[in-house]
Amino acid sequence: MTVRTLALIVSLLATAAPAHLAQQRFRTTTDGVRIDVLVTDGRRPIAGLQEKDFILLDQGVRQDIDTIAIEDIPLSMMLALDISESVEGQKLRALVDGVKAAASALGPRDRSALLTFSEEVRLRTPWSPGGSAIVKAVPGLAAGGATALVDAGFAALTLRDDLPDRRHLVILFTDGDDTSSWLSWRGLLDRAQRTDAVVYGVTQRSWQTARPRSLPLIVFASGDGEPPGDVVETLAEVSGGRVFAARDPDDLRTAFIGIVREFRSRYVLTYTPKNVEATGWHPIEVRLKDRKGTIKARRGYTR
Amino acid sequence: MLAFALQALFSAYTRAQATHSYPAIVHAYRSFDPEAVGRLRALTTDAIEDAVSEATAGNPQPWPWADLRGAGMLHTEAWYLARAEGAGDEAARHLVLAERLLGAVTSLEPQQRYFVERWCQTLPVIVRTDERTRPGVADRTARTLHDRCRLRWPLSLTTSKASARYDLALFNEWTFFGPDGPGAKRTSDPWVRQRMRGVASMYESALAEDRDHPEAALRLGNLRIGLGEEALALEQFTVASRGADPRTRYLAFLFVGEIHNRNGRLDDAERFYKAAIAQYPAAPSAVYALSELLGRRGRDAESKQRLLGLLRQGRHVDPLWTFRLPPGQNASLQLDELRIEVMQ
Repeated sequence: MTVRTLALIVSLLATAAPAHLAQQRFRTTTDGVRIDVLVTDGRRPIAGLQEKDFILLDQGVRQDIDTIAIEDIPLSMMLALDISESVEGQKLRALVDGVKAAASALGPRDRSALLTFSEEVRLRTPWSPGGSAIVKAVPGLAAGGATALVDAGFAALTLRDDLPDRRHLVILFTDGDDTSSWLSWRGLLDRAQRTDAVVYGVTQRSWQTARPRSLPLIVFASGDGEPPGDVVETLAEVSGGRVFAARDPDDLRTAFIGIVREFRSRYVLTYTPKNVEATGWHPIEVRLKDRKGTIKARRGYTR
Repeated sequence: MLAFALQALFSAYTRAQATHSYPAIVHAYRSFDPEAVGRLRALTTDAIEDAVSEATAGNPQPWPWADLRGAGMLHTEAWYLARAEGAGDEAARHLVLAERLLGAVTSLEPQQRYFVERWCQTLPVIVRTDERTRPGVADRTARTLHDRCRLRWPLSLTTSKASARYDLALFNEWTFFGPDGPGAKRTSDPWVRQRMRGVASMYESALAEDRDHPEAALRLGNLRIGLGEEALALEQFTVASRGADPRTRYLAFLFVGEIHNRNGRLDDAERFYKAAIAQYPAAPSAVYALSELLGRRGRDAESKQRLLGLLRQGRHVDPLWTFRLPPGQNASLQLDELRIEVMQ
């Protein structure tokens, strides 16, 4: 049985039976590239697609998709939470509820880690099975300090889980703009282009939490100029994720759990790049063939 | 059987004594033990007095500066907590002991001088910004603290011509380029650049009085970067890196590393980032800079290990955080710096 046939069967099973029954093993090779793809009809994920339904271009060259998989691949979820001064009170309590909700959506083969940031980035719990460790860690969180959003995003991507055959999700929560990172937004985006983690942003901004984007006296911090739009949105866009803008703290729980569920409904396409440069920036384009739908996937990767 | 039980009991007692002895408590504090301050405050006044006398007078010599500094900060913590609890007498006692310990080495070598100066600058600000104290009382207490510092360490707080000019330049820099200043985010505007040049010349006049003034050189170098004068900035950062204060050396190395990084001299950048980390291991900025650089150079495992090494440490304090805040707005961060320096 070829991988292609197996993938087809799995896809059919995925549409006919509960998705968790699908048992295809995710395959990676040293040269293989994995692309996490979200396909929606504008609102809801479209299920049951097969590899023949996709067109994938790497550096403008059409590629053969080796495998396609959904749902059954265990995920590693890194939560990176802003606990700066402005998060104090109701927002922090809602955030704790959000973490618990996200943890409850994890399966036994999934893993999670928790990182928090103010001006200081702290790894609260390293990678561990399920979500129990992060749930235990959150009641002790206290808000205070400035916001090292870019440094925290960099750490969340750099500390990607080392276990093989997993898909990688970063949920990045913030209620404001960066006020104290050393790294520039360029460094963060460069890192995002070098990993296969997908970043989902959760923002809960209001005029009270709006802060200056850069600090004045460190000339280096402004040497890169302003980022092209919001850092969280750009990061999500580059990695193929999305941003949920919570209107009030009570929306956080729904956002967190919604992200984990949506992430599970994404397709993972694996291919071995052919007729492209071995190194450098690889722009990627993923389209649907003869079907309508909206696609979210990373813009490319750096090798 | 009874003898064995007594021996075990005695052994447990001496172990407890050992962990609760004054030197052990100071050692525990320097090893990030959060219970150390509580254990210090549980000792009797006489026991503390004897221990401090021994540490400062010593037989045959006083403790090394690193331990004296640790003990001084431990008493500063006790002062801080006792004040918060309204235990005024106890707070005053700990403050006197902290002064004695920090002043035990009278030669005031540069490293000690910088530490004591910052301690003397930080404590009055903490008192003055304490919301629980009535403003009049807070001001009086802060002034008293400052005067006591001047009496004890007249050399360190004597205002030199260079430091007076430095203070003036710093005031101007904050006025125009501080968080609420008119030039905060518009470094490319001609009038802002003119102001930058004006402030730069003030730092130059401080350096004309004392060409090895590390803080003035650091600030001047930072402004030179803003003016696009990297070669001149490098010269100033080199001066700053020769200072005795590890915070200034850390920032100088970090900034030099960044200049090399931005100009594609990646080996040099890596070397200077590592030098910065060696100066101030608890500071995250240099680790992030190095980790990002290593990742960009394809050394992902090393990049991750550097970051993990930082995150596995306890508390992080970065001199950059106080560098970018106006004096008076960063007392708690300054206190954190003093803490972390005696612990690292």
